[in-house]
Order: sequence, then structure tokens, then C-alpha cells
Amino acid sequence: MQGKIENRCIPTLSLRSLRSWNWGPNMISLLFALLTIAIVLAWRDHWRLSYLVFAVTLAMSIYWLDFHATTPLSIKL
Amino acid sequence: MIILAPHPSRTLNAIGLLVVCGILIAAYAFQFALDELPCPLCLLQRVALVGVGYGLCLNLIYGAKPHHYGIMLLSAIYGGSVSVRQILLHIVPGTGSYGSPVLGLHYYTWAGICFFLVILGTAVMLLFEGQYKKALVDKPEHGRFGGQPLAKLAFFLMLFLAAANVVTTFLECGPGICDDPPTDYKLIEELKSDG
Repeated sequence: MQGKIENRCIPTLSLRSLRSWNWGPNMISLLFALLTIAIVLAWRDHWRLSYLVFAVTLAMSIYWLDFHATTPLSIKL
Repeated sequence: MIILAPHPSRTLNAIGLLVVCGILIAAYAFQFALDELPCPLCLLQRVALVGVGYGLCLNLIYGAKPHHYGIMLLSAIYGGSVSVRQILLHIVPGTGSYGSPVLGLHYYTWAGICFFLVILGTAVMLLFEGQYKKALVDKPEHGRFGGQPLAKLAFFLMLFLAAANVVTTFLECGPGICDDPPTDYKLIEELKSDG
């Protein structure tokens, strides 16, 4: 019985650790998610919303380019 | 003025989208076959490729329009900027490189060439004015994608690859900032260490 409870705890522990991560807009996967949503919206004929999602994605992408272009280099020049 | 009817224009866009899908599939092939994780800049180049794919998808769904090509150009210019940034990062002798070379060039150099070709191809496509004329637009009985199976195939392949990139990027970077350079699939390692 105890063993069964321990087994059940494994996914709970994983979810707890995931909750402790810093979730936010600082995810590159979010850019792919937004573009996927934009494609689906275009397919479902919501073209205005689709363009809006694309514009938001582009703005966020530019932020990311700026972030990676200005962070200290990990290579020695 | 050069005339190009909507039907061949859509076929050309479908072929273009299949090429973009091919590049994303090749990137996956190198990622999994050589176990080389894409760096944050590499991921941003993939984002730009999906952006180009989005513009092509719009052309397939609604027919060719100049602002769809504009979306492609914006995405390609963005992707080209990221590629140039990465090329310049490693241009100084002794600063190494990222990833294995393919036919003598690294992935980011190939990406830069691809984005340049997208800009060139889009500029050429913009010359064909006939594709925008309402009188030549597809008949309603053709339905979505102009009734072209090739366009439908390309669209859904792009949609699948965009969704696949959401999953693989999330596995690699987790919900935070991607490691530069990445060493493993952060989320999988995190879950393993908990287990």
C-alpha cells in the first residue's frame, strides 16, 4: 500500500518542480506556439486575429534577437 | 507586366512551402541523428523559417496577396539578421563554431543563404501582378487551398512542424531562458532528476 502511494507521488513531485520554475514570456517555445496559433487562426478564417498574433510574435522575436545580440559572449575574442 | 494566374501562383507557393518544410525537417534530422542541440540563435532562425512558412500558408489559404509576401519578407529579413549575427560571432579566427559543417558550411551560414534566397524568390514573385487580380481568383467550387492537394499537404506539414517545434523547444529549454550553449534537454533532465 505504501509502495503504491510512493509510485503515485512521482508525477506529483515532477509537477511541483515544474511549478517552481520561472514560467513567463521568456520562452522561445512561446514564439513557435504563437506562430502555430497564427497558422491555425488563418486556417479558421480569423485572419485579423492571425495577423495580430504574428505581429506580437515578430515583436517578441526582435526582443529575443536583441537579448542574444547584447548578452556577454561565452567565447574569448 | 508579367501575368501569372492564381492557380500556378498557388502551386509555386506550395512548392516553396514544401522547401521550407524540408529545411525544418533537415534541421531535425541533424538535431536527432548527430545529437546536436540547437542553440538559442539557431532556434530563432527556425522561428523565422516558420514565419516565412506562415506567409506562404496565407497565400495557399486566401490566394496570393502582396501583404502575404510582405510577411515573408519581414520574417526572412529577421532570420537573415539572426544568421548574420551568428556568422559574425564566429568569423574571427580562433573563435570556434557551433555545430557540424554541412558541405563545408555551418548551419547558420546555410540559414543565411536560405533567407537570402527567400528574399530573392519573394521579390521575384511580387513581379507577377496577375496573381492578385480578382477576376482571376479561384472559383468558389474549388474550395479552400484552390482545390489543390499539394497546397493542402504543404499547409498541414507546415502546421505539424510548427507544433513539433513548440514541443521540442520546450523539452530543450523548459519554461525559462535557453542555455547558451545547450547541453541537454533541460526539461527531460529535470523530470529525470525528480523521478
